[in-house]
Amino acid sequence: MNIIDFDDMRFGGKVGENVSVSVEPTDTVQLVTYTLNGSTHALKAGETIRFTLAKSADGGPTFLQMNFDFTNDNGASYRVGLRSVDGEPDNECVYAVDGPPLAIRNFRIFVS
Amino acid sequence: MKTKVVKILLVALVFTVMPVANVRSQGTLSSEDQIKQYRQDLRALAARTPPPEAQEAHRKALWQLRWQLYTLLQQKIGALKKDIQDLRSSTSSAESAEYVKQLQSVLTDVEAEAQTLSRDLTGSAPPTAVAVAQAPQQPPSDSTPTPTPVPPAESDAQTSVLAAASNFSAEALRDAAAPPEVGESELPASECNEAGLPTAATRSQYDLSVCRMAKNVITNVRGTPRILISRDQANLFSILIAKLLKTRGGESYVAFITEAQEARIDQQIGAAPSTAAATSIVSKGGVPYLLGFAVENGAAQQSQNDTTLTFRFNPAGVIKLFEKKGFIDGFQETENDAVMKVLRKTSVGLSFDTGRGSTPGVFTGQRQQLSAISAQVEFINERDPRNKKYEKEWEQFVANEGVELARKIWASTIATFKFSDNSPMTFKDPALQAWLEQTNQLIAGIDAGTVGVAKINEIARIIRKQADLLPVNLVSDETVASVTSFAKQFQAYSEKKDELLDKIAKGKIFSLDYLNKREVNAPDTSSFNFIAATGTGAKVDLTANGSFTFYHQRPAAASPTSARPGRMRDFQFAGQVDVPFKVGESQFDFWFSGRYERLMEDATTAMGTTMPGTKGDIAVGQFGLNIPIKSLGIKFPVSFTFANRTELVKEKEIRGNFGFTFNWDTLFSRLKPF
Repeated sequence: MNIIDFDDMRFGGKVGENVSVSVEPTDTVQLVTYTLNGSTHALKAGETIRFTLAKSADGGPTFLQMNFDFTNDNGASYRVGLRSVDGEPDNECVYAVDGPPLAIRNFRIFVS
Repeated sequence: MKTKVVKILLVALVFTVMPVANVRSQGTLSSEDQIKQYRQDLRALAARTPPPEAQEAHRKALWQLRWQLYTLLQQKIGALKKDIQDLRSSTSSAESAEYVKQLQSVLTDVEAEAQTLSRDLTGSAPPTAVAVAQAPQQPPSDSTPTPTPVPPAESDAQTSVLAAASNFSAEALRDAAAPPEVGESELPASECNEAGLPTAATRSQYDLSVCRMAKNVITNVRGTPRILISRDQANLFSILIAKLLKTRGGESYVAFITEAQEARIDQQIGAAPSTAAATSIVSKGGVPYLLGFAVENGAAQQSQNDTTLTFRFNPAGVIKLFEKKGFIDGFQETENDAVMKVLRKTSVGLSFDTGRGSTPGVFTGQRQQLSAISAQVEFINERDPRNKKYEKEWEQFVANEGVELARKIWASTIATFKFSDNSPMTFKDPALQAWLEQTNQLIAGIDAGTVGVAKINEIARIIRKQADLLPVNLVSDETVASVTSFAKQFQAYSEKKDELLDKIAKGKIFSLDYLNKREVNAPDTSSFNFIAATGTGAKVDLTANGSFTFYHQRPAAASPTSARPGRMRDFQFAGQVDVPFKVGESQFDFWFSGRYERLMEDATTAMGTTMPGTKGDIAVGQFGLNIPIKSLGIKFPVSFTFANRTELVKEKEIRGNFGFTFNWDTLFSRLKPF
């Protein structure tokens, strides 16, 4: 994958490319859920989201919506790492998701 | 021409009203019947080719039907998954396994149908023209042009929304905002700290969202600082709930977002109970993270009035502080360090008596004013949500309430935003998008010299001001419906989460307090106090103490003929019941407590004189109330103490105390002096 817009969490990828997303909480219980192309799941501690890029019928992007909640009122965070991203250290593109409050992050991967 | 316009309006009206009529006529239908009805209506409508004049209305009706059906299917998916999970964990027969298999098959079909609808919804155009047509008439104004009606979008591209949004002038958006008396916040705005959290001890979801979004705008960014829907969706939803639903229905959810949160009651902020100025007679478990600071007036246990400043801090936090780390960075790094993990369970307190020293009444922080050193170590703390004990419950919470909320978030995302093009996500409502663009322009205009926490607060100020100007009258009913739907689920989710956190807050705590009292003339003393705390099923916190105190050196005899007192000074037991309750949005804590003390030897005065005939039993009762002062992070404790005697005088005593406690974390986070 390559970064199209880091801040907007937009990426480019090729059909058949494997993507993995890992999450590490700090100072909070891991309260993470995600919706990948309309299908919703819980993400348990230590689990990794893995999927293979494919072109969608409508030509839209692969859409990964992640929801992060926190149990520490004084502040906590998640480290979210996307692999494999060209040009990033260790091919991992890292985001920090701080809270509270509840955070929603929308990752879009445009497949060519 | 006139006839044609009337015809178009009639067709549009029919299609606009139809889904509402459907819903009303189906008021008594079960969810399953509603699903069937929506499927049938959807097939019937999709099979028709509308005349060009009614294409927009046709598309709107299709979109609404799909969204209603999608929402019901999501509910069905949730119910099916719960059934499957419950049956798998509670049954083992072949018959039930077969039934579960059947349920799984139904679930697969429903999920596939929901995914198809999700794709259709994502590819649908918004009912923008209707949204503008539904806006109330604006008063005529020479300087404020009426918003140009937005043409129907020709594609799903975000660029079409951006083009439509550019039609709105600042004045037009302002005119579409709620009246100031409705739109503006009633509560004083909290400042934000460098970590992106409100500085006020009591804060609402709305305050949290504003500060977090302000912090997000400038943190970990590689491009222009701006609000992005992809990153700030949850915070934007909070603003929409607080401002949009306040004027467009769903008001019950507004208070949920804007009301202040409850505070924890298990932190020992004030002076330890046996210091001169403590207002509580029982020590409580729990270690505040960085530094607790308290100034309390009055005396609970001794017959003297003075002012004591207590600094109570966590060594791990202070070590990081002196490494000049940021407030949150310091806290995070302690997680990966074994020594720091132990230190995190420890707190140390320093009490200064400002009545001492060369300038009485002025806090100098000099050695003479240091009246007590205390330390607290936690052995058991079941009040940490990360405790292994709660792992299963959190997993279940995420699997049920978390996933249900995630589905609603996804449904609301589809209904509220556009995202299929390779450009930033946009609102479907052009007016909301115009408002967002305007907000980002204001953020871009912040002086380049404004940095750090000042910049966060400047962005927060812009967001708050803009939130009050949200063009609520130009927002489509679909957006209102989707925000309401999210708010409803978010409230249900938060209530479940709070239930779990409340349960955890009643977990056991067992800790040891050490207190070294440094007297001016009398012998110094050391006390060891064992603290046990637990909650009950109700919202009540129970704390029990058991302690003993000894002199560092034996006090002088009361007279040349009397025996010199021994090293053991006293032992005591105490208990306290805390009952937190809310009045409006304010969190009060009522407590009552009792203490029994056996003075093993005659007491000594501050001057070191032993008072003959003072050894014996002391019984003390106390009740009090912590009164919060919102937004300042201050609690004002008032207490009344009844005793059969004091240490020095064998007479009954009734005393009222008052003071205030202040959470130093709040101030430190705001000032960051290092």
